[in-house]
Amino acid sequence: MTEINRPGSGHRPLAGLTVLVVEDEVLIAMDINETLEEAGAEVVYGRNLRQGMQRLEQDLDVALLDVTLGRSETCLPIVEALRARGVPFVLHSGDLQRLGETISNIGAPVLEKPCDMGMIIEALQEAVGSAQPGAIRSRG
Amino acid sequence: MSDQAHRSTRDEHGKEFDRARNQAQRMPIHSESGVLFEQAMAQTRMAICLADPNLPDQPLVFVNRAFRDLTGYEEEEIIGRNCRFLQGPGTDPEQVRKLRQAIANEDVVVVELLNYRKDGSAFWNALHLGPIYNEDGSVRYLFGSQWDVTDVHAARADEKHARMMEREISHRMKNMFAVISSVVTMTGKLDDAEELAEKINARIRSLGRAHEAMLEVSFTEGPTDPHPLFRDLLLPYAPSGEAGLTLEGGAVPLDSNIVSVLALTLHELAINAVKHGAYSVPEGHVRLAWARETDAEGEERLRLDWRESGGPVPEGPPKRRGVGTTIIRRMLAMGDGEISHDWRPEGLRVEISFPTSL
Repeated sequence: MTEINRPGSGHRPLAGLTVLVVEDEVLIAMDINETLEEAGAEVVYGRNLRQGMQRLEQDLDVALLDVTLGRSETCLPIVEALRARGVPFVLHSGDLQRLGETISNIGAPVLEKPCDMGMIIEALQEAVGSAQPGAIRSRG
Repeated sequence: MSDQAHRSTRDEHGKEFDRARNQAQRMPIHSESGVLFEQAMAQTRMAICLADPNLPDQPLVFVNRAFRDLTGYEEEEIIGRNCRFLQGPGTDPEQVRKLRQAIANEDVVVVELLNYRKDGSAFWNALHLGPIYNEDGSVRYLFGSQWDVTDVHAARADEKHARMMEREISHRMKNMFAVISSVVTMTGKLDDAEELAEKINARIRSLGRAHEAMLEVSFTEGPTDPHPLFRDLLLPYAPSGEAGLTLEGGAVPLDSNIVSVLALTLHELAINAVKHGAYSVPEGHVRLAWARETDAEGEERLRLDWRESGGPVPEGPPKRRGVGTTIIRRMLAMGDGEISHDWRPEGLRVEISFPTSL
C-alpha cells in the first residue's frame, strides 16, 4: 500500500505546535500520537472526557477530538472550552451516521474514521491556518 | 389499563354497581354469590365477559367495565352479539379455530388474538375462555377474561429484531476482518513480505475472534463473564487444549476498547509462550487469573495474572524487545496501564493492570 501518505523523516509540517488529542480507543490514539510526533508536534493526550478537560490547562495550538468518548460521553464540553480559549479543533468520528446532528451543530471540520494519517495532519494545519491568518499555513 | 378507569367518579362507580347488579339479577346466580360477583366484576381491572352457549350464535350476555374500556364499545353495542365482532383483518384464523374447537369440547383455552377496538385500533388480546357449568353438568356460560398484551408483543418483536441485527453485525464483522486479512496477505505476497503479512494477520485474527466473542454481550450494560473471550483467544495456542489452560476470575466490564487491549495483549503472551515458553511443549500450562480492584485515586482497574508452568526454564529477559512486546507496552502506557515480567524458574509470570474506564 504505497499510497499511504505518511510523512517521511525530516518532513515536519507540525513543528512547533502543541496538539491536544482526545481519543478513547488507545490503539488508534497510539497510531495518531506517534504520527503527529513524527510530524514535529508536541502531543498532549487524554483518553477520556475527564483527562481531556484536564489537559486544557496546557498551552494548546490545535486539537483533534474523537466525538464519542466512552459509552455515553461526547467531546462537547471540550469543544466549548476550546471555543472559549480560541483554540481551533478538528473532529474525528467513526459514527457520522448516528452523530450527524451533534456534529453538524458543532460546526467544525470533520474527519471520518478510519482516516489516512496524512489527512489528519493536513486538517490540523488548515485549522491552525484559518484560526490565525498568516500563521503556519505551509502545505508541503 | 386505561386512564378512564382512574378518572371514574363515585357516581360512575355507583352506576357501575347498579348495572352489574341488574345484570347479575337477570342471571340465575345464588343471591350472595351474585353480590360478590357484581362487586368483583366492577372492581377488577381484568376485562371479563360471559357468553350464553344456549342462545343462537352464543351472544355475550355480560361484560364488565374493564371490557368496555379495553374495547371502546358501549354496553348496548356489545350485549347480544357474538364476540367475533372484535376480530378483524389481522386476526389469525388458526387461533380462532382453536377457540371454536375448545368451546365445542368444553375445554379451557388460552389464545392470543389480534383484536380491534371500536376506533379501529388493534391490540393483542390474551383471551382465557372456559365453560361454567349448571348443577346438572350442562354448560351454563362461557367465561372469558382478556388481557391487553400488546406491550408484551412489542417487546418480543424488539428482541427478535435485536437478535437479527446481532447476526447481521456479526456477519458483516467477520466479512470485514476476512477482507482486511486478504488485503494484508495479498500485499505481503506482492511486496515480498509474506512473513510480515502473516504476523500482521495473526494479530488481526485475534482482534476478530475477541470482538466476535463479545458481540453477544456488547449490547448489554455492566460487567460480563470474560471466560468465553479468554478461551477463544488462548485455546488455539494451547498444545493440549483445555488441559493446558486454567481461567480464574469473575465478571469484568468489557467495552470494545478493553476487548481490543485484552485481545492484543493475550495474543502476544500466547505467541511468546508458543515460541519460548510453556506452550512450546505438550504438557505446558497457563493459568490466567483476573480481578477488579480500586486504585489510590478511586479508579477501578483490571488486574491480570499470567503464570506459565510445565515448560522449559526461561532464559530471562530477551536481549532485544520484540515487536509484540513493544506494541503492548506502548498501548498499555497510553491507557495508564502497567505490565511487569518475572522470569521464574517454573515459568514466566506476567502481571498487567489497566483502568476499566479505558
